[in-house]
Amino acid sequence: MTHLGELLTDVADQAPRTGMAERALRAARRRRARTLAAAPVAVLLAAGVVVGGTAALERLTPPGPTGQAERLGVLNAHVPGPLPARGVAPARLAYIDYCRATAERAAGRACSEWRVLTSDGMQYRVPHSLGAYRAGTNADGNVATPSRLAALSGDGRRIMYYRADSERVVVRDLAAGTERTVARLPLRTVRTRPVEFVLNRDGTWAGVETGVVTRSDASPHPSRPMLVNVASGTVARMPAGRVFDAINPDGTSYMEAAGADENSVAKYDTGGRVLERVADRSGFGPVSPDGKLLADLGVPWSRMLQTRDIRTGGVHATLTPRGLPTGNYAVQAWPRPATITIAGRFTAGHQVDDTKTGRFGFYLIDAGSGRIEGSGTFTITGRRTQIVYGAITPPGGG
Amino acid sequence: MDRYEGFREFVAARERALLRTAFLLSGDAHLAEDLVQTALAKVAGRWRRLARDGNPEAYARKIMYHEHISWWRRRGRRQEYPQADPPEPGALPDIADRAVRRLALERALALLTPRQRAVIVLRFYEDRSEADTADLMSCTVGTVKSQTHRALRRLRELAPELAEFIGAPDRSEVLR
Repeated sequence: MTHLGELLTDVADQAPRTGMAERALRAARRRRARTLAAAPVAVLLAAGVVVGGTAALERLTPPGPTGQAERLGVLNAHVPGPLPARGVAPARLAYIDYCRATAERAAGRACSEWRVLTSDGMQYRVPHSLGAYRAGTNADGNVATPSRLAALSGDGRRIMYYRADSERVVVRDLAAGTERTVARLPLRTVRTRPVEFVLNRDGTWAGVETGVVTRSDASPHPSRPMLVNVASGTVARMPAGRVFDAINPDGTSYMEAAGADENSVAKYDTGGRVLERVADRSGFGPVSPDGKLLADLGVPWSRMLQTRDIRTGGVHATLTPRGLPTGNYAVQAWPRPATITIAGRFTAGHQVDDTKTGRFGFYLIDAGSGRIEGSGTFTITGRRTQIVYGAITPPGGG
Repeated sequence: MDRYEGFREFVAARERALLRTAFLLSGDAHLAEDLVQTALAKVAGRWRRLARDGNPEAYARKIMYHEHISWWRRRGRRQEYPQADPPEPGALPDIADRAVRRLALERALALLTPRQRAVIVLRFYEDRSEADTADLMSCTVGTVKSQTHRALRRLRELAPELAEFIGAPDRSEVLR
């Protein structure tokens, strides 16, 4: 921090101390009541928000889980080589870095492309992929978009990303090296509107959301999400203003209104028709392999994992993984009946303090006991990153 | 199920930090509370999705910066920020008095435009890069640079006794 920063801290010390939660909630309820009374349709279309990749934090809490722990070190210590034509192992995660200085920019746009970390410990960049911080014309070589332009299938075998060279959304089979186009999106659209991708467990169905989330609640963009059968290329336009919570192996999907409304989650068929409404809940997590339960942390920093009946919302089990470091977690997947995976960024308490470096961890949790069966920790230097997870595997791969 | 589950805990954990930033932006305790309340009310309205997928604090901060500037536009600069004489130039006592420096900085900050205040807070209090600052303020990096330059120059003019504390951004930050 600069000297000026220290002086500003002294000024900030004069800020009032007060409890704001109840006041804010009263204001939110009044605002919601006005909105519902004035324009009920608008509520369905109202957008959520993506909150920049400038995430936050941290003074680190050292991880201390039970089970096998793996330290992966700093992932973005260097720019990795491009994906080989074929033969790439399943991806554990994909992330983006950014271009730091003139030297990196001069080397091309590789510094801003998505990178995958595979189960055999290799790391590759995905050529021509567009990160949320992409090489641009600004002085620091980065241009932010409010989008998330990659997704991994739950088994880590396929990656969905935006190819800037051909202005297409593709799904690539990492082992075979084949790519299928699932959508064509002009670069202009990707630069100006929020775009997000979703892949299901085995990468056979893909969701493309354009313009659902906004950078300002004053300018929501209604959208018609697309559900694409990757093998056949069949496209279904899903209801406007909805976002994907999960896509099932058979192509049916759970979607909710892009706002924060109750009773908005429903199951849809592959043609965009409602199959059934789903009980109200505060969050919709990954679905169990048998399709009957979902897993949810409630809030990102909660360390209490709940599994719930997908239809009734009733709590099936409450799990408290022992030794889970304080962090900002999300449930990533429920790949096997007995295993739930979560991942997130370590924090100090509920603190979300700005810093330039983030430490992250992923955990495999026994769905019956809550015991941590395996974990991995890693660092991404710089605070501009996005991470999408694929096959979170036990230490040593597998 | 409570639609605001976890919201109170979030506010309890982060309201102090938000209020500190809001106070730096507005220079007034009551305005700072209003600013934070406005931001948190909007966060609450989208709580379920923000808590699950996003970063509620980043969203709250973004709203605060935009609200801060839009309030100033709606109310008019003269009404919102009455002019005051800048502090008398001159050296501080040999033994630096933090309280005096703080007051001098408060007075000088009050005479900056809202955008200049915001860029000072983001760059030097929150230690954000130019790109992050541009993203939060929805402007270009070039605008951030020019606003930073003007804001620092103005601060030096208004509070010359603080000149030694008001330096240019770190080289490393410029490169980020």
